[in-house]
Amino acid sequence: MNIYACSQSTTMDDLPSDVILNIFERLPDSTDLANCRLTSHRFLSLSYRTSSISLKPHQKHHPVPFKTRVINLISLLAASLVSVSISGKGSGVVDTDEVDDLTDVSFLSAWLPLVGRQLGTLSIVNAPNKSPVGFSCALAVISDTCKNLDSLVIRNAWLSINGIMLMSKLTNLTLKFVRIDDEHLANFSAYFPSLKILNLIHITGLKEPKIHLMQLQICRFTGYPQSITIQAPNLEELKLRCMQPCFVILDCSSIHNLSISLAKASGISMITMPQNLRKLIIKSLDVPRLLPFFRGTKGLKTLELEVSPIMSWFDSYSVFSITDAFEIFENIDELIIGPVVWYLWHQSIPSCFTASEPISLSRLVVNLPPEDFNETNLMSIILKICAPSEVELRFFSDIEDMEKKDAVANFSNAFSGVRWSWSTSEKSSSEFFSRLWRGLGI
Amino acid sequence: MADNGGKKITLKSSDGEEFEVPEVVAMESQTIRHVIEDVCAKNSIPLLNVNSKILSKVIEYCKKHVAAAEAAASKASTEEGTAAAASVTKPSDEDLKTWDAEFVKVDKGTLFNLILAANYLHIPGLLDLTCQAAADMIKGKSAKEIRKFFNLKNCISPEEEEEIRRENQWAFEEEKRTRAFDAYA
Repeated sequence: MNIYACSQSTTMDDLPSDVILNIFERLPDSTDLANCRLTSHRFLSLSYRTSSISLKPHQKHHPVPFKTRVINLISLLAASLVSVSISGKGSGVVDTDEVDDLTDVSFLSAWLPLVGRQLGTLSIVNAPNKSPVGFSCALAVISDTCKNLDSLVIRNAWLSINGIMLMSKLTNLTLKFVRIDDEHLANFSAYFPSLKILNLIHITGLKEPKIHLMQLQICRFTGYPQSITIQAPNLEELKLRCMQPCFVILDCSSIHNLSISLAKASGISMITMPQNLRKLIIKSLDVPRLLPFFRGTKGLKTLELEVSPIMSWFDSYSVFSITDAFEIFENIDELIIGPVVWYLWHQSIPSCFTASEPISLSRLVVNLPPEDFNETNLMSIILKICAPSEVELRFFSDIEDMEKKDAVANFSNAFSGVRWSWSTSEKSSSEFFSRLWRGLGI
Repeated sequence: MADNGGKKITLKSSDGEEFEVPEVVAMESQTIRHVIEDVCAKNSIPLLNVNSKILSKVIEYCKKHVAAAEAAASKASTEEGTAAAASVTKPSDEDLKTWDAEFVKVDKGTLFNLILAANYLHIPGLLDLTCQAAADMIKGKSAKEIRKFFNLKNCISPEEEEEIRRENQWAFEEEKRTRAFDAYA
């Protein structure tokens, strides 16, 4: 074997076995590994030592059903497997048979015990839009067999909390499009005490969840609760999106990055006022009502404000002025204005826009709504209030480059005391219009 | 990147070329780091398994990543660095990812040599990057294409192939992109 990284003729055969295994573990799914097995004896024998597999169904009418194949493969590789990822979603290339619920307990019990002892990472993704027949006790089986699990991802499932056992090594939990049968998550911290990263995205079934996790560092929550309590003294980053009016209680003294999206908030209670909050994003119809809840935080550097036009509550929209924000937070470096805010200010410039004391921002970022780029009236007023050194114009992704350049040139000429730059958002303007028109009842 | 007063070390490739680099860059290689720290090496370290062409690429990678880490650290210190502060430096993470993607756009031979060098010199980031690039090259190819692309010596008889395909069907699921028995084609 060639160990010299200097030969012209270095081939894959020259790589040491652990390196080849490293490469095998990065293959996106088991089909690629299957093809590698046919290429040489060496690859064939190494395939039995693969520690990470990812399976998804490919072909319709395969003689061996997908679930059976999963069980077979895992039995074959059981000794070395550390990471298993199964998806019921096909690759989309070929018509696939419908795959049943992968969180089904009898299916999991057929193979989890074979790898449970050393399994570190487990991901189970059901095909979307399946109507489950009830709550699965998958979490009970997983917590019983996989005592060393570090990372767990489950998507598109109905999960029961019944029978869960302690998962002391779990640091990473992601549940997405999951319905849970526990309204309050009462014993969450008892089951997952070591969690550092928690993602609960589009979770239903929760009414008044209380998340109390001492080690938690990052949390992302999207759901429909009536209230949510997060008590996490080490939490640094929180992204909260509540799709209906909700009361938020936060006890997170170390929080650094906070993003709250509440169409209409009943209120926010900060049990401990964070002293290190550097970045705050608020998306709500009720921006002026939410801002004062953060009075008392020190050191905020970046503030982003956006109005979220959700129909049926749009009459709750209250006009607000930039000066509201500056009154609460001293010394902000950077202010980011969302496109709907800019649009609404543009429609009728609020009379409450008066520059009380001169504020000087380092940077203003304006997400421009997709029209009227030459309108400089509003910009003139805003620049007078906050006197930024630099303004970045952010455009929706589908705006023509020429239009962008023209707009930047237009603003640069009109306001030469400021440095102008521009960037492109990932979102397209069609999203902006559809949400806005719905919100305004048009 | 802070170059003033930093200690320099000389790396010597297998074909005799010498590369003078700041010590902090050379220490991206854990192998070299052990030599410097434990063995108290003199100023010149011979690397018998790496030629000048590959060594210069490796040094390029280490220099870029040391510079990026220093830039992130100095930004974070002005914001009282934490895990969350690191996520604020996203733009430069993107730049580094783009740079990395360009870095591995090389011919197969060079890529495998880079993998060998990263493995021998214990540079985890470079090993991850290059192994991922190799995996991306395998993705989507049929067995025949993989063998051809990577110049693998084929020693699998048609009977063995049939057996492997059976096991594949039982457990792996192989997409039928090629005809059966075209292993010898």
